[in-house]
Amino acid sequence: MNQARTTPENHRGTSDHEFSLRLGIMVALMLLFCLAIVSKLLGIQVFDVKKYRAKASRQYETIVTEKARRGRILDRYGRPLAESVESISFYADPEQVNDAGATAKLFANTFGKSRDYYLDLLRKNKRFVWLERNVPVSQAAKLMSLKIKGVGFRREQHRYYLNVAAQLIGLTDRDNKGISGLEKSFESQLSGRDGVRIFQRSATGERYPAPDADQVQPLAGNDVTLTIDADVQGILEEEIAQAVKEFKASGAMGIIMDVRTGEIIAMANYPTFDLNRRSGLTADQMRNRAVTDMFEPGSTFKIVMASAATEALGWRAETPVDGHGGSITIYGKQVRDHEPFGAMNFQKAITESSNVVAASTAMRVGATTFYRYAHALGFGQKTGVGLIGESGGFLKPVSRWGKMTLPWMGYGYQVMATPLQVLQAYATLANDGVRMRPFIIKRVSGPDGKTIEETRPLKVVQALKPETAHYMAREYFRAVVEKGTGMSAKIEGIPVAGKTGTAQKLHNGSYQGWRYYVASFVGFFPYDNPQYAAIIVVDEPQTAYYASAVAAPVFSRVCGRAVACSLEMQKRLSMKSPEKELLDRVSTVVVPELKGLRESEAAKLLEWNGLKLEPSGSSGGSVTSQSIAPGTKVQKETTVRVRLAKRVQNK
Amino acid sequence: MASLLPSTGRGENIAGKLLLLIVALLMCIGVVVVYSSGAGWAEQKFSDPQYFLWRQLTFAIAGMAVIFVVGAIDYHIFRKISKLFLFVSIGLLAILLLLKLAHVIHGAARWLGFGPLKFQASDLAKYAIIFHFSRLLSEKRAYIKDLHDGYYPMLVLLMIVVALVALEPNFSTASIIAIIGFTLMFIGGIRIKYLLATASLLIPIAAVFAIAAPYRVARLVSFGGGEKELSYQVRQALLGLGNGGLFGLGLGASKQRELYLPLSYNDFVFVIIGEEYGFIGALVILLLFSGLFACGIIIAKHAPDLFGRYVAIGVTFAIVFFAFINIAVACHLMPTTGVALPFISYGGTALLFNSLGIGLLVSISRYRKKVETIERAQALLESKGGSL
Repeated sequence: MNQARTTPENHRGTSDHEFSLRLGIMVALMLLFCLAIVSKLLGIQVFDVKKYRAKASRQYETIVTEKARRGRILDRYGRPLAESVESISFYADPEQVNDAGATAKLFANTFGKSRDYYLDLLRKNKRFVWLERNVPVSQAAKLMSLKIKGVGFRREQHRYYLNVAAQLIGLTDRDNKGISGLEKSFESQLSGRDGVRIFQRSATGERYPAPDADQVQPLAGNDVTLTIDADVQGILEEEIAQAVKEFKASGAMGIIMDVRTGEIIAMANYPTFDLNRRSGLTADQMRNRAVTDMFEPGSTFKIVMASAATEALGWRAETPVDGHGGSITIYGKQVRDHEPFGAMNFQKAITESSNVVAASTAMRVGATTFYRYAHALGFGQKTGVGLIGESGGFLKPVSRWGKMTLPWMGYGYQVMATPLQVLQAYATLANDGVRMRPFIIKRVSGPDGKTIEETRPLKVVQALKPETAHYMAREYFRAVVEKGTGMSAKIEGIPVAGKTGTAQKLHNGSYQGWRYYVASFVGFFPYDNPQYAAIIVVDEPQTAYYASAVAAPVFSRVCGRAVACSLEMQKRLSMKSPEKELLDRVSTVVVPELKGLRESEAAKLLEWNGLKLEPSGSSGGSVTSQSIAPGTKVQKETTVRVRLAKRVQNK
Repeated sequence: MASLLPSTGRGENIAGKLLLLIVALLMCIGVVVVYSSGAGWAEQKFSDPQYFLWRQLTFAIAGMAVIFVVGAIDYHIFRKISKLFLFVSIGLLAILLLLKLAHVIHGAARWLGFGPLKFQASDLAKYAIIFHFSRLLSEKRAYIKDLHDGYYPMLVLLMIVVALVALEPNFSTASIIAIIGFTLMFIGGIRIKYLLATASLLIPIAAVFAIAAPYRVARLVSFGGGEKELSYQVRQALLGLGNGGLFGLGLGASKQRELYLPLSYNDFVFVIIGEEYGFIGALVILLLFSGLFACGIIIAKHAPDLFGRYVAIGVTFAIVFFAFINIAVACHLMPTTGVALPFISYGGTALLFNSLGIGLLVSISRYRKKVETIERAQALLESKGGSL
């Protein structure tokens, strides 16, 4: 045997044995290691497999909620007052974008920003960048269809408003959820149902809809149609804002209502806010004062006294009453008038708004009867118009009345009412004594346009006999506008009836030394077949305070303009009212140039224009002069006098 | 003479062939899995999904070539150059560190070479340690139990290499090299009490070193902490393995590879195997490495000389230990370390180094056969001479 080789054979016995032992120990340790691994793998892959699979599927699946389109709020003619506009936001995963240059160029071409702007974004060392936010769908449509690798988009919604009736409509928050006004109270109708889509990620990062998961399509919200006429609403808002400015008032409210159905055509408040720009909003601006704020109504409340006197006492316009020279003392308290009225009839007491007569008449009526009429006309209870924060006013039950409550209440103190309640009382009178529930939601319709709910006009109570209502409208409230305190509420061509109210505001429980007023005018038209009622309330006017000067002219302007711009109003007024001719007469024509025409020609021309000819001078001659200058605007049927003269032929 | 040689001598013949088969299988699996898990990354990084496929295939073929070439040559050549090899390795490690100190290299100073022929200096050092220790252990056979002549020289060499690697910094590889070195010494007959004494001294030092770097502390915390503290990689690795279940999602169906699991073609390639082929697939990989281990041990037992025996054990242990550690990390049995799965993970030069080791095992098993043939011829000659 070759002994030079250091083979293991040279070392026998214990050393070989020891080697085997040590090798065995190593092998055993490795085996242990291996077994530990196997048991661990067994745990992960066989025993806990459900846990890890669940986790993994959560990781591979992305749940994308697709926001449902929020329903619109429409005006009575279907014009959107609030609508959700979808916009698109593009994002990118710079790591996934293959061709940043081309992508940047594409975006630059579409959105007009520089190519470098997008390149910078696409080269960011991030997994997510916004490339473009809130761009209109029309602009984004092309890029959306391109499916650029690494670029995705998200649909976002934005609420846009026509920006009228801000307090009424209210606001939505960031998540498109209604937080005030109708946006809040009709949240469940407007919001619709969000869609849920489950995507799976493929190994390369592309998303595809998971085949076995439930995909819930988004369901657009319902549209809410209001009774509001956006045009009239706009006019009302403009006019009350103007009034606030003019009289340096602290606020103003106005409501226009269809007396036959109770539909609210317009409801405006000042101060107001911009629905589309909502920073710096105050609660003051957001309050829908027309239904939330209550005042002592003042003289407009005399409708209760007048109704009770007419029905319960059988008083007529000519019933004599005593003005007591402008002042009367009841239970040691003085009731004053703004003028020292003496003996007069009941009509005058109302047209001149005598507090003395109102107080004494109320006492004649008696507390129970007075309360009954106040309640029947809707005071002291919510109208049920269905708006958030509506106040029911404050009408004490008779049992809690003091000695002075009744006389004071006669002319509108010791009672609180919202502008809507006051309007409702007059609308009741206008509607043949039938009190309708005012409402503002005309219809709720699905995204397909199908009507889901429709509000039917609701008769609440017959508050007054129709005859009483007609009589009062004609004899008292028409007279107020015709010859009383409400003369400045007149509308050209439309016979208005109504009542002024100038209420002193209570301050720290006292009216003394405090010169703040609420001036209001509430009226309806046409008085003999009323269609619309409106109220204007100006809060704390500074430069003037009498309702006749502050609120009545606003009423006139608002209603005049409203009728002028609303075809529906015109139709209602002309169709149902004998005043149609009167309205027609309002329309003017331009007097044509008649000079040089022969008499017959002139007569024909005028006839075409709806005018009349009254000739003078030699008949059969030509016109040498006309009584109204050519180009002058005159009412139809106006007579134009002309002077005729025979022409001198030989000249 | 027959004490270490089985009477038939067939065991190690089979071992050598089986070893080749196992390695070839592992390489094939590697090519497929690296392609599957790396295609997306390759697409992103190199705009060529087949980037990893071709490179891995090329290296696999080169690796086979290395195995055959090294398997054909006499492994004793490594005994002759082992000292030089070790000093060159130490030199290279030192140069790397100096370059790092001179701020020529930023970050970890681990790589040597250029382009596709980059390799980790620690890979070189690992083999240098195996070769030289095998030589020393075989040469010092007679006085191996001696502390001063037997143990200290080797301990010093090992500590130099380990310290240099640890300072790169590459703590995990340094630890593994240390473990390989000590294992070799243990097998080589160094007194166990010396080894234990060293360990009791070294482990506290290693612990201090481990918590010296924040990222290592983070890894340890994430390992020791509850499920919520798992690092992203480990969490994703577990998800991948768990999602694979018993039978796996199928070839190319891994979902973890691109989006969620960084380095899925490299350090965490085992996760992709577990995800695509399930527990069964993972078990097959473990069995292949265990088989490789068994073959290596058989070859070592039947090695013609002590050097061959120690080299065989060292190489086998190094490869299989790396594999087990990689798998243990992937299934959260150990804290995260950057150790590749031999023959399967993407990475050319590491594959070549491992091929070198397998080549050596083949060479050792063949040399044994050669010796046997010569001995048989001699015996025949002697018997003839006797009869004559």
